[in-house]
Amino acid sequence: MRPAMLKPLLGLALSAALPLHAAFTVTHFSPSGAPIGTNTTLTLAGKDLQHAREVFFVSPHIKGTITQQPSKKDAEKKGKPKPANTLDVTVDIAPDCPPGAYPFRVRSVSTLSDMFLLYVSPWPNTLEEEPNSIVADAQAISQNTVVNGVIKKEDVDIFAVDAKKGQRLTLEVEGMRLSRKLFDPSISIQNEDRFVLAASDDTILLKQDPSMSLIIPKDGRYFIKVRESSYGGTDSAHYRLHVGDAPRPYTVFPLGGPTGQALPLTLLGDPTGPISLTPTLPSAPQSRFPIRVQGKHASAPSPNWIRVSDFPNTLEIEPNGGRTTATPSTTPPLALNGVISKERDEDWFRFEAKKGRNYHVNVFARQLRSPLDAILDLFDEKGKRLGGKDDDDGPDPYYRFKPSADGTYFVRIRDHLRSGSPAHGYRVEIEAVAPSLAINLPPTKQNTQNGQALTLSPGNRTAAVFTLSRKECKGAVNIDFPNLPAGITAFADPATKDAEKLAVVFEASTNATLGTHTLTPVASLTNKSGIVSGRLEQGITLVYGNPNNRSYHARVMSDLIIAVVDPAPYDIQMTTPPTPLVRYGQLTFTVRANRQEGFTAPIRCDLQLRPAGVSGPTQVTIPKDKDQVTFNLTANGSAPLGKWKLIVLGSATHKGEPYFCASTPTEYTIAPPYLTGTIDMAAAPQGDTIEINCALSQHVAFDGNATVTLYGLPANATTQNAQITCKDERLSFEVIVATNTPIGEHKSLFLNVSVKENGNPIIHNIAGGGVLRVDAPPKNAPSKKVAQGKKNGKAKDTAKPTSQLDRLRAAQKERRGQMKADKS
Amino acid sequence: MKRLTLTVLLLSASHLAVPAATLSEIRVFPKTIHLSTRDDHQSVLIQARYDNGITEDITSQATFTLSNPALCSKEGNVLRPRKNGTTQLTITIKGQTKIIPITVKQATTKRPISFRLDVVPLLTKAGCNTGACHGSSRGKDMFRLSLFGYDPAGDYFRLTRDFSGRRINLAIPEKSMIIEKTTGAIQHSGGDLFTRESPQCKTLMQWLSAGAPDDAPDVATPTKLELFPKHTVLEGKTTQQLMVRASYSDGTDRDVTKLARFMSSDELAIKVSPHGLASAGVRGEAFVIARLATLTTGTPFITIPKNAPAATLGKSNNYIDTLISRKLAQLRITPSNLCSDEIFLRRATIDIIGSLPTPEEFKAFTSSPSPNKRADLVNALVERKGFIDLWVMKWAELLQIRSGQDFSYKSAILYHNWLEQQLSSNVPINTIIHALLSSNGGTFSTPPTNYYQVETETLKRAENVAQVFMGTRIQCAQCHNHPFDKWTMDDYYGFAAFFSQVGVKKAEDPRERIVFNKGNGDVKHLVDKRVMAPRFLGGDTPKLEKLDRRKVLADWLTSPDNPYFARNVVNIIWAQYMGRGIIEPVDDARLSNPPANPELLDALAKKLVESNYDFKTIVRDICNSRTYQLSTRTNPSNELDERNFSHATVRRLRAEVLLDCISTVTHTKDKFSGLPLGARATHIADGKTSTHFLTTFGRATRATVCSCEVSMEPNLSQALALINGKTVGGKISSGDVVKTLLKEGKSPTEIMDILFVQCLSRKPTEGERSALADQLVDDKGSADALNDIFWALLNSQEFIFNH
Repeated sequence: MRPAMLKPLLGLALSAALPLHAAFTVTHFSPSGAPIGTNTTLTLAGKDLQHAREVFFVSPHIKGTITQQPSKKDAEKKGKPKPANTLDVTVDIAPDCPPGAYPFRVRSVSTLSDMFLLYVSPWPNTLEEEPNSIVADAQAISQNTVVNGVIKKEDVDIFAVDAKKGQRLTLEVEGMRLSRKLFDPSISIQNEDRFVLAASDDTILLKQDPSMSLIIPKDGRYFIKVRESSYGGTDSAHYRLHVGDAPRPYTVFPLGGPTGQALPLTLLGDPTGPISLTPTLPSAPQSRFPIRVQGKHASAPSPNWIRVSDFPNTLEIEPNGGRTTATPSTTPPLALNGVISKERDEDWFRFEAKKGRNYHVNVFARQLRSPLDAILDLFDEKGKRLGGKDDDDGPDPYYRFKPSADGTYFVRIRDHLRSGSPAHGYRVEIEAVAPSLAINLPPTKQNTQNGQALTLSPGNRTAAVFTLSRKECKGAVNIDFPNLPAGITAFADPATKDAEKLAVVFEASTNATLGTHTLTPVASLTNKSGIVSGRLEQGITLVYGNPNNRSYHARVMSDLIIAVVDPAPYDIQMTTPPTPLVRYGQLTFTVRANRQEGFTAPIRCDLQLRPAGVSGPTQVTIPKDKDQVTFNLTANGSAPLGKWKLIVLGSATHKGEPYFCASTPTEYTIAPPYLTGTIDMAAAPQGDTIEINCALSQHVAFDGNATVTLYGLPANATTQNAQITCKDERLSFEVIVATNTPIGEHKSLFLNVSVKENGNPIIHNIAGGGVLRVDAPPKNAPSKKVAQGKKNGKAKDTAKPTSQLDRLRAAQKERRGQMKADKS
Repeated sequence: MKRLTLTVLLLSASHLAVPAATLSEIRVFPKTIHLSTRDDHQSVLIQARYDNGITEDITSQATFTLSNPALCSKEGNVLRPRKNGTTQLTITIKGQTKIIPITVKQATTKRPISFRLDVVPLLTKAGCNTGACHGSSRGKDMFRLSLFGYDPAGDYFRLTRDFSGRRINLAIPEKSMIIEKTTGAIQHSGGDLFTRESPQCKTLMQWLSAGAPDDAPDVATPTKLELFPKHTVLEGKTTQQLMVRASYSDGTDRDVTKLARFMSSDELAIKVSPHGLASAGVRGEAFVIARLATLTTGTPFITIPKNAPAATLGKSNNYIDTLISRKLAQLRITPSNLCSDEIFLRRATIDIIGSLPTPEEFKAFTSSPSPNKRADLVNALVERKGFIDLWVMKWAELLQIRSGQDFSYKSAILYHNWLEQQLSSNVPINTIIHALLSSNGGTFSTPPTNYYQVETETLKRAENVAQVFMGTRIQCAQCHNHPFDKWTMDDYYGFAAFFSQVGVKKAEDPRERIVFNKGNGDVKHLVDKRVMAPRFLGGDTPKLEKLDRRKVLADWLTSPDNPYFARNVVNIIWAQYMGRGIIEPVDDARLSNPPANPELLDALAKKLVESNYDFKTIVRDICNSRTYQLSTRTNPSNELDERNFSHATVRRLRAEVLLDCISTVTHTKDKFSGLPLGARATHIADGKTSTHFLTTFGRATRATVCSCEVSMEPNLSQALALINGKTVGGKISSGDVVKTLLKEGKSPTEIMDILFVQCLSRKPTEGERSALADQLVDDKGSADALNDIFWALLNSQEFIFNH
């Protein structure tokens, strides 16, 4: 299967898998965070929140409880149903809960909400109070608190805080990171004379979120102004403003270290000067390991990040600005750490590499929030540049390197704009290429989280189509769910070695208890070098924004969320077709619904898993009150032969909420065609009768007669069906071209052949692209000689007939003769 | 009273006797004569200049004597070679003697006919290769020539090879289509251009008889074109013959008056015949240009009526007035009187800070006895925030700060804020422009880089820089040599090469871009695909080494020696306060559109450089000049003057200022997208943000860099918007100004006075007062009647215009 062909089909299939209409929806909540070791009530906003049943946190440190359902007054007004738009939830945060952002979803009667993040921090929280848009109305707050606020349209929030001379005052805002709509906050701090001491909009450490830390010049009251950077804002533009004396370093050196070791770190950017720390690194590699600096009263509002790897560090030794002074390192795997400390600086390292090995050369700078926009170059020992890179899906470069000889090689790092500072740190990891495997469950609709969490009803099924990412390996992929909760089972056929998708059907037993669970899927493949296993790497975009709905904030999840929801009022099944789908043919499928009594709503059926070369509807609907629907799949000449499975995902609205369920996979076969053929080009004047001849190639014998229909004739041209056996090689149709049949070339003629096997028809659509040219009748037309063919089309076993061209020539000759005769 | 004074002045002016002019100088052109090859010739011009500035063509009155007539022949004022050697021509005129040295070389050698030097100029002179004829991009009647002959090699090909056997006939040259068409032997859409006996036809025949040869690769090229006389002031309906001399790359020169094409910038003032005879028309000025091959040159003409009285000039406040007066004296134009204090206060306040003076300011200014109060007012106004706001808005228009598909609103805000911060910190304007042009970095983290995000095409970037920072439009030269200026395609692509290495890449924020120097990339010439080395417009080819090309350009452009930058900046400033540039339009400086007062432009530019590019200094100089403070009322001598600043011009308030003024006097607030309630329209950062009112009144969309983006033309929609629209009526009723004043116990007459002062910065005249008093009595001084007066004031032309 060609990936290029698969992609558009995937898009079609996925975009169709939507709920019928949005019902239960959570849009945002307030406050956006809570202190560690407390019970806090959150108010969720959205639509139809009376259907909420559970608040589910992935972390065991936080428990969410629905404390107040929307009142009936909210839900119904003046007798008309009105969506309930708020819901109170209490979160219980354990005292040992580490600070950070914690994902959660809300389960309703039939679905799961989008994923949201709750921010947990040690400081007490307070709420913003309007009016606070001018200095005179500034809201007084104390230090070491977090203010939860909202920037409404063109809003400005001003807070007053008292600070002492010489103290460090750190301000930091969580805005974009709160997983709302695009919200880009900006802050500034003024003294009592309205002089702006500092301002922050975007930061390298926090991207669109601002942060600043300064030493207070004199005792007094200071005013903190929060706004949207372009004076925008919405009702859901929530923010959390941290105000206190916490340390706030912005970069770390080195940007990583070996597993399990104590690593001396220097953190830069804090106004009090460099901070030294020697944390013990975890025993397993981590791509982003948080370093949170502890101050006298509190830790930094957010962590700095380093990498933890399985191999040793090389630290740069200045001067290393050229090949001859390059800092020496060993053989890969290795990690080179340095800083582009001033403008136009460049750092060189040397290492040993083996001929024929493939190496990844990965630079980590911006990924670990260094301001460096690195350019990577590799050189051999003679100084010849072998290659390099600037950006690779982000500012950090990546280069794949295969040495042509054993020897010494050089790495050069510099900044793209040739700038530099003590903060411009980087880490280069060079290691041999190794096979890897990962799976993902992408959204079923662009720019949403749809389909990234699963729901199923007791006694019913749901399906998920995972995408596979194999690197440096090939082979069939199995998937396993080691921690399936009681009552849920999963079925999946291995993905073939060429397949890029893998479908899994989950089934809940009739007595499965309602609730939400995390699954940890493990994929594996076996190839010549052994078993390669991989986990879920599910990117969930939390904030989309302009231009073109780009991702501004995302989270990668290794756990899949699945919920058992209220029983669906229906289930669906497909019948296995009795015949194969032949190339150039079509096959009819039937979807049947088993409806609960009283449930009559239409059921939308999205068709999942269709290989390239097979086309048909992406979606069909079982009409209201009906129990089944049929649809056809057609195969072109390149449809992959073999056994395939089709899954139908149903969705239907019941009592205002969408319920999803899947059929069991239905197997069908794609087979070669029984016969193929061509249609000879034909031409006839209006009002004439013509024979259209066809050549057949028989590939598979069949019993009895097959019915052949000629399709694609122009308007008002008629013919009769023909019968053939598996021995026939030619076939002709007598076509009557009417006097009002449109003049021109009609190029879409084809043959529809219904071959029967065990009494079941196998439909072929062969000999496509046949041409019938219809001409204007000749002036002074000779007396019309209608071909005396039989009325019914019939297979011919005679020799090849006179061609149409021969007949036209003869007619022309005859006309000329007639003209000469007229003249004479 | 004012009218009376004016009349007295005019009467007294008319009594000024025009003194008899005395000869002050006789000028002879050229200074030396070089004749080389047999058919060369050189004409001589003699011009008298009188002490009243008038010039006269006295060539025909002179006596010419050759020291050695064997060396050359003389036919009237035209000399032709006879024999090699050196001699001199003695000219006797009005009792004076002038001597011109003559050198004759190759007197018997015939110069071979040249396609480029003889045929193409002939076709250009005849108008064959103009845009309306065969110079059109699609040609005419299946025959195409390059516009004004920018591609002679292509013209040669199309004439001789493109349609074999059609356009030329070497066997029978006179049967060539090019001869038959131009002489009218066969039908020609372009008409009969010359006769069979004409020198042009003879030249063409000579070329065809010689076998229509192409030029050798080393054929001489014209390097310099001179047009004589250099300066002419004609009195009455007199004439002046022109002479054009071309210098060539082989060191020779030729009198090409017959080959050059002449154009006048104002045919009413000066009309030039194809042979170069300039005839005076009505009072005015014209710039006459002569064109040959890729070269263009020009000379200024002034025409004044016979016996026009001398100008009566006022006292000069500063160098601006001195230079303006000098020009007015030449033109014999008497400038208008000074405007009143009330008018000056209103004019300066609107011009400098975009607001109306408050009643308190009005009272303080009009009652101040200080002789320096006007200068004090100007000095105070340029230090106010409104001054910066107006200039930020002006530069934001020139820099096209406007959000769009690839230019986020955040970028627009950051760019605008950067500009505001630069201007409010008094950063010299050349430093600001240098920072823009040489910027590298993220469009969020380094806002000046947005300059390269606003316009992303290399050629357009070059065009924009030329137009905005040099005040010249080079767009024409993208496809052909500029028809009315000196810019060639080489100039265009050489200049564009400075922008060929601008790299733009994605940043982490999807809305941001990073602008950087790629260090590679070239611009190729459109015609012959040559890689063009970066060359300053009208300047040298710099040594780049490995420098960022944009930085090299920025260094050149913003250096004190640059001939364009400072002149352009002061012209923009001048236009802002005077309603018209010294070069108008401000972004269309070209040879055929010279400055109205070049000395003034130079003096202002010099002052700008001396003040370290502090544009406040220039604003102070302009607003303190008598020229700025003149009345809009004209006198008979200056009523037709539109370009010499002899009177103030009546200017409609620009859209943003008008809206701000209406809001101020009605005590109402406006709401614009992205700005808090009450923000001024002049604060809008984004060109895309507008309102119906602002659009109706011609707010710049900032879609182009053209100075024509801001529409100041009054039209019917504007009148209707004011009369019927929600703005004026709505603001009067929601502002409750009249009601508040009534509540404060003010009498209707007092309120009327207050409204007049607020809106028009003057008290009502007696006539107005009595007419309106009657109305108030009829309506019993009701709020409605007063609001009607308010409405009428806001709809009056006196309110809508600055005068």
